Amino acid sequence: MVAPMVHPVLKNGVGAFIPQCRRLVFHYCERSGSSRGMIEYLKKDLIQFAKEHPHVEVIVTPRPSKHPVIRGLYLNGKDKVVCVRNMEPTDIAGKVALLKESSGNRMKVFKKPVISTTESVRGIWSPFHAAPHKI
Amino acid sequence: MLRSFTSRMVGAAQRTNSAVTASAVRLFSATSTATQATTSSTESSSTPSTTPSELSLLRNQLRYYAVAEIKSRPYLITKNDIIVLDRLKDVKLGDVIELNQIKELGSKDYAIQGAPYVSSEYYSIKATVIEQPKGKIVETFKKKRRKHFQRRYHIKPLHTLLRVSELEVKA
Repeated sequence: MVAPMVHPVLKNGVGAFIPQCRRLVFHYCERSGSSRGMIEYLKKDLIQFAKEHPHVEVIVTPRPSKHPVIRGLYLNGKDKVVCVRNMEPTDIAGKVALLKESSGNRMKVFKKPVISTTESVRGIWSPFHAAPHKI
Repeated sequence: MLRSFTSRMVGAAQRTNSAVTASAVRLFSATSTATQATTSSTESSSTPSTTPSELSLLRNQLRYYAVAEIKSRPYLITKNDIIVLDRLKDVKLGDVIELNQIKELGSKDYAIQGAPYVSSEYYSIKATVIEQPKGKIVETFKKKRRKHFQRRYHIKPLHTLLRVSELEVKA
């Protein structure tokens, strides 16, 4: 019988912080007009970004006859793809920052202000262990 | 000002429920009721500051919580929690933020209530910026019936996630 896999409890940020974005792949087309802003971004701003973030692997690959796309790969194995057709370099830089600062988790609605896995410090209220209500 | 939660236990059933851990404070309330009276907070205390003996009571406990005020909003946090905030503009991934507006610092049996904040000599609370994601689209739909008025607003909120990396009570 094979022993069951024990998954470590990851609490990124408590001991050490590991940025979740592993790789950014930039696809562009040499000819098409929707890649104009992307090509300008690749020439002007990408090298500076890559130097500032040495933990991110940056790959630039032509993808002919397709819209320009940025694909981010994360440590949990998931990826996020953003189409940047007809965008200016400043807007593309914004999308790159968005991908860089995310984790691979899906976008979700955060309903509570604090997400916690620790049990409550003061315990759950019980009517048998509280002083009787007085009016 | 140190607040004791033992005042709730006095007069209650003495048998322990398995769901509630046996509190060492019951010993405290039985032996030294005089000390308990001074630390009970239902009346206004004549000594608002926390004495070292009161702080050592808190330090002898096992786990702590804090009510931190970040951008004028309270967050009840323990260690390893994730705080979900609106996007902080002046912060990068991996930055460590020291929280110093703490309204309440407590444990199972005792709490220090700040007036308005707890003195920062008593604690060390740090949070790391782990992520700055975009939330899911939130739709607000407004309609006034029979008045030909309806609106749909779409927001994609920007967040900053902080992980509470340290929450310690100092001696």
